[in-house]
Amino acid sequence: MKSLTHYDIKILIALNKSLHGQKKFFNFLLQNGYPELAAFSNAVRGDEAALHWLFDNNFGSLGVLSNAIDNEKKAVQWVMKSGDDFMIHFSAACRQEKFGMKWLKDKELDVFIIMAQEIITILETQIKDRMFWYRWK
Amino acid sequence: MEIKQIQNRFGKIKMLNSAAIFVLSFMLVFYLYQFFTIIPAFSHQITTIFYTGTIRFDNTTSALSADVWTDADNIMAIFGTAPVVVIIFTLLNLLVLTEFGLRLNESLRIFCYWNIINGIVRVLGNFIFGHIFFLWSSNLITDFLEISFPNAFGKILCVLAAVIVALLCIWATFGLIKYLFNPLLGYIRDKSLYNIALPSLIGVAYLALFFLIPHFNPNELGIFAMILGCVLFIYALVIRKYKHIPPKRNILAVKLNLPLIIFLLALFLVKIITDRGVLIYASLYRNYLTELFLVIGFGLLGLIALIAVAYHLYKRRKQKKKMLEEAKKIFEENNGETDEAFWGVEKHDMSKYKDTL
Repeated sequence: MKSLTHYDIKILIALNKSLHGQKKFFNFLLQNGYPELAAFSNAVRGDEAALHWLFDNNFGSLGVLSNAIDNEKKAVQWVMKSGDDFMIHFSAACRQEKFGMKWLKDKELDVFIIMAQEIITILETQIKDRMFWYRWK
Repeated sequence: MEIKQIQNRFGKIKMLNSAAIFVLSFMLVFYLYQFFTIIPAFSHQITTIFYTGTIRFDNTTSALSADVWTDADNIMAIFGTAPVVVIIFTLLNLLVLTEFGLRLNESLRIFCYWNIINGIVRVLGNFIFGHIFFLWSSNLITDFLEISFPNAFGKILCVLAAVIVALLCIWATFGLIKYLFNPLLGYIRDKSLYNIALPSLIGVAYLALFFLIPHFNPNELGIFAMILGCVLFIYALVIRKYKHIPPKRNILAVKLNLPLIIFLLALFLVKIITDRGVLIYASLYRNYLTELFLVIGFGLLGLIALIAVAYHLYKRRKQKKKMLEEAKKIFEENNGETDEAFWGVEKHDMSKYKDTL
């Protein structure tokens, strides 16, 4: 089970850009041996096929992480039981739970702080996409 | 030069380019509408005069022409064709924008977006303002169907229904913004301001000069107001929706699209002719089937030729870009250690100046 912390910083920066929806970086990940990260970025952006790909290709932990970020009950429970500190706190930070972001700051995991902030923005945009304009805050 | 100065400079260039694209799209939709009003009128043997902003129909009643203006079917054919064509054109643009989205060139995306807005505003605006100002436009369809005439209540109902549809359509076009610019990159406010909001103001100022001088045109004035209202609404929604994304200013270098701007300024030459009116004469004693086939045939051929030329130019440009990239890659791979033989023969022996240089 490969965690996000095992990847090189450059790859994580590319993942950040891919999360933005920048095709160039998505293709970079795909063509340079990181299809799981490309799929993860699309799964976070709401692509169901990408999520299935992660589960079907032995990257289930990334799939669960994506679901835990979305605050899906079973995925959050699975992450909590896994005992993986990074996954617990990173997914919590993406759900805007203060203890998650604090843990990332304490551990000086700057790249993941930026990534969590990006994911928060993506999730907020996704929520607004599903709402009527008068409910936007 | 300071970054802010660079930003402002490129912002102004972007604004002018986008304004030119807006005007081009407006003109395209306008002429499409006028063309597909004149053609059915011509096929019904009605003489028309094509002015800058309007079409005058020959409404003199004679034994032969009387039937044309009393039959609801004729009215539907003359005033109903253009809205249908513009709706199809709008839907085609919608299809292209949603299918290809961010993969398209930015100017093309903006052009498609303006085509959609102009298409909606043209069809509904002509109907609404036609009813309000009693014009010879698509409003006559509901008049002849006896929905909005002689009953004034029906007229108000028709206008209200059209206004509601217009508001819904404009609301729907806001959803297309995400196909136009990637909101997550943080440039969306900057890009909406410089590519949509401000260019529409400049474009409307240009179009006001074109359509409202010397003859006042209430229909076009209403359409300008609709466009500005639509843009304002969309821009306000963009700010409200994406305020959680930290804004960034886009400082990507852009070049002024001079050929397009010159083309649009040259359109004033067309205005000189159309201000006087272009008479399209149709005799009541002739059937124009052959002429129509010829016009439509040549028109289609011209369109196909234009698309072919555009496609050829696009392909050539792409090929050139690819070749340049390949050459750049070769240079980068060689890492500056290019074989001397690669550079060819030196014409002059410069070695004696070695110490002085």
